[in-house]
Amino acid sequence: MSQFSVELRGVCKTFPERGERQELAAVQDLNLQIRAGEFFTLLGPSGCGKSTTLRMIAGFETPTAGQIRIQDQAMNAVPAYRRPVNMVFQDYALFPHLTVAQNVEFGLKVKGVPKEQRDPAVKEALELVQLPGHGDRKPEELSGGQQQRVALARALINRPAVLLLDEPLGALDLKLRKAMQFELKQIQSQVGCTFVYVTHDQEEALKMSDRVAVMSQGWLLQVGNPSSIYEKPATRFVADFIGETNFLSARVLKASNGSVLVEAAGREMLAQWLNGHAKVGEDVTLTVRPERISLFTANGGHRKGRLHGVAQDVTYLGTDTLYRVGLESGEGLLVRVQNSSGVPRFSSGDQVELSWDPADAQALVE
Amino acid sequence: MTNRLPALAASLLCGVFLLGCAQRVDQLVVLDWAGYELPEFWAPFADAHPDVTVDYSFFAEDAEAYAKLQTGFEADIVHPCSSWWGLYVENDLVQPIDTAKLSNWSGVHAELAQMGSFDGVQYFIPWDWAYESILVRTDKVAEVPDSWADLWNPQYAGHVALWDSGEANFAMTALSLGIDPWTATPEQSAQVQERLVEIKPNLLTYWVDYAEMAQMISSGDLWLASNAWPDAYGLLLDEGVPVEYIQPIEGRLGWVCGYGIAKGAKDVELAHEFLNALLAPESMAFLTNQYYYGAANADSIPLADPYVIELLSLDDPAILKQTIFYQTLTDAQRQFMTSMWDEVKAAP
Amino acid sequence: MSTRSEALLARPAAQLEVRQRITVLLTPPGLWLLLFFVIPLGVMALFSFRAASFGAQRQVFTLEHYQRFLADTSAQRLLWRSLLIALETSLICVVLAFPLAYFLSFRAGPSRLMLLTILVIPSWTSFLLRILAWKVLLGSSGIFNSLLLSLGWIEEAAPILLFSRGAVIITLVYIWVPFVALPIFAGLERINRHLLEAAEDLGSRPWQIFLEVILPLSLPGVLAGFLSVFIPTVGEYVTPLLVGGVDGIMYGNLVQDQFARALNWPLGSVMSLVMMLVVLVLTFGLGRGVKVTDLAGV
Repeated sequence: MSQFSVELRGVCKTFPERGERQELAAVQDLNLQIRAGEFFTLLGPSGCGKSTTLRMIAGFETPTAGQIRIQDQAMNAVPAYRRPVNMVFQDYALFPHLTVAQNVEFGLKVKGVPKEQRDPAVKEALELVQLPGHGDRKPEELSGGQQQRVALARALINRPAVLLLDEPLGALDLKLRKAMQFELKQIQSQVGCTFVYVTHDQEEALKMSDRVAVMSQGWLLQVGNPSSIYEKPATRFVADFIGETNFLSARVLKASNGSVLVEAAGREMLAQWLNGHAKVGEDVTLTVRPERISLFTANGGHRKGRLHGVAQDVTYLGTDTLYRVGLESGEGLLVRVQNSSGVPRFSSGDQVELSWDPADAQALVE
Repeated sequence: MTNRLPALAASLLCGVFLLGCAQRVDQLVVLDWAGYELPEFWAPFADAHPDVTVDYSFFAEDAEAYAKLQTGFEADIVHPCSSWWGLYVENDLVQPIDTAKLSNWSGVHAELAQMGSFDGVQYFIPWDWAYESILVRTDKVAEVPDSWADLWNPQYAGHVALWDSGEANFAMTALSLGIDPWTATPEQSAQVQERLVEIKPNLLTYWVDYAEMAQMISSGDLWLASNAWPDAYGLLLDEGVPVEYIQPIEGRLGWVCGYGIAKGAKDVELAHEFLNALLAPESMAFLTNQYYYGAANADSIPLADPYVIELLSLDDPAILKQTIFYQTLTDAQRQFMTSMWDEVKAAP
Repeated sequence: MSTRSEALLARPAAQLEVRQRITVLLTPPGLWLLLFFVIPLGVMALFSFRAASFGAQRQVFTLEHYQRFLADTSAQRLLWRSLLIALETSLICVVLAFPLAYFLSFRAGPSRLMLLTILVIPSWTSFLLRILAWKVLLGSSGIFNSLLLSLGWIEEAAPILLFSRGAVIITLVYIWVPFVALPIFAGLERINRHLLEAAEDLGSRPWQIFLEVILPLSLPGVLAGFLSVFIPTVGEYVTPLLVGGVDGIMYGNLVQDQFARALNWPLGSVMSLVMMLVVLVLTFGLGRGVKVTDLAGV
């Protein structure tokens, strides 16, 4: 028995040419293994193929190539209405002509479950999403957040092996979205089924997921838990997409297993390899997160290991201050400093020194 | 010089204006059936009065013309059919015609002329007339009918069509029962209505215009067309369809329409001249040749196409004598015939 | 709507301005309705109480025409027959038009607008011409009879197809189907396609999706289509005249006779008003009964 709830093997999806639209390769050679009970997120900008992938798992699109397995059963020939999955749509897709209760019990009714069993199940589902007693209302009478929860109840009542969520929180305002993120996580741990979640909001992905798959232009770039995605991005795109990153152009001076010596911004510095190897003299990109950089007051002498620069923009963010520092080499670095007591504050035009732990810097080969 | 110029200009303008006004007075408004505006019908008038414009206003039903005049339409000449003449006179819509002013009056059939006279005063001059009889598709019927009553004969079931007119069907049914249509008692009228309901199973449909009817005869769906006019007969013969226009034993029916001078006519003299031009033998002959209708002026017969005259039996005294022309109706009679026909059509 | 603009609109002056704008916008169509609908209807209502169409009697007011209508069973029978014919025609139209509209909306894809145009183009030709064309088709030498003859179902050509109540219905259905397909199509287009996917996702097979989702949500459009053919058909008189024969005569023919032949405008007005009232009552009743807005969730 496979431990994987959902498996994609070599899945491709190409939309053929149609009228004015050209041929589109939406998903390219995707291999994924999603574990049972996992909160798994597909993350990427619009057009990266995440929604298409989700729809292929649901059964609304057929892969052009490759295989999709759910609970270790090949699903390619299985139509959507027979798959053990349920989907929560971005626009909720609640049936406007049915009441909330009728919406929620829809899946059970279709399967022929008698009314005596449906009613308690509906009650339970509505309580799960914290909408008890709303059964007789019509979808149009509910707020966006409430409709979202009804859609969730409607899907979960069927106890699917996998719940698919297609950017479900996209239409909600910020505060509600944050509340719902928390609630979704709670419900998932309560119900225990696999959640496959699609979003373009990387903060949301990092916050909620057990594992994240980053996609771009149909390709899968990296799969991992939030910290490895964040701290060890596999490509420049991932580094750029997730959180904020600084990029410095660098040249390899010396390479060895694990670490590398490069020349960047006019100085020599150590970094960790992340995504491959390069020969001496090759150009690479050095990345370091803004919050990993420390700022010091420049006081004349050039301390070893530190870069020199001038603070150009200073943005006060309440919890942090964001500095844009211009280096002697002409490049700029973003530095995020927590506003704790005892930490020096700088103003625009101040001379500063920067340094970071080599373990926090990665060298990326494109 | 400059003083005189405005005065000169003003008088010039007045002159032109008056001339224009004068011309506008010389206008004749004729309320007529569509298709009767052909200038050949009144050629002598056009020659004598080239500066008079003859404006036609058309109607498609007698009732329409009557309603128009009743609601204030201003016409000089009007062309209704005989069953309405009495109503026009009663409601003071027309004025007397001085036949002495009509040089062509002498040739008009006496019987027709008499119909247009009320209390000794001539109000309408008859102009166009035609028979109404049964048009038969001779190759389709087992036996050719010879009476109006044959329309009820079940051997023709599904192939008979009546004209969609209460007046025509009342008259024809009354004749078939030996009743005089215009002096029928209430009991006789009820009898006629009952008899009409009885014909319904025999009917294919009601026909409205003769082109439609002719097409049905030529396609073979229709065998007996009731109240058909000779123009359809001529048309079908031209197409080579084997048809006969029978002489029923009760006699053919006949419609006649004529011209009257409206009460509010602006120039009565001009109106008389127009009527005279209409009665001219050449005009009348043109009518016969063009529309296959009878002409009220017998003097036109020698001038018309002999083929048409013979085909339509327009000068056959025997047939004419037996023809029953539509007499004028009272308002009550008219109301009865229309509502009777609606009831017949609505009857299950 | 932001709270600021909400506050702005709440001000009395702003409300007045909005009302003024609406008045200005509604005035031309309002005027049109008044001139060409309300006033003529009023004139007709007035006429229904007059004793006669012209002459001295015209100024006399009476209820006699209403009484006459109520006593006239044949007119009432024809009204009933017209309602039935209209009902049959409308139902057949809806049944035929629905698959058409469904195909256009769900299966036609990008060529749907072009196909819709093709559907509608025949109605650009003369109404009368199309009826006459049907007369040729239905006639004894037309294709229907030829087909039936060759199949051996009838022995001789039956012009019964040509002049009958059935012919009226066939002709009217032919003319009206495109007009019924349009509102049904519009209604189907409005259905959120995600609803269909949701239904499928929840386990519905295609026919279940149709019955549970598409059909209920299509009802407002179906009702609109139904009414758009039912209402005019009740008063039809041209088609019965041309192809109705003896048993296809409809109420409209009676009304026409009153106005054109009998010159009994008061009675004609009474008959028209009665028909209008019946149709109004039926329309509102139907609209209420189906609870259209509830269905659509609009």
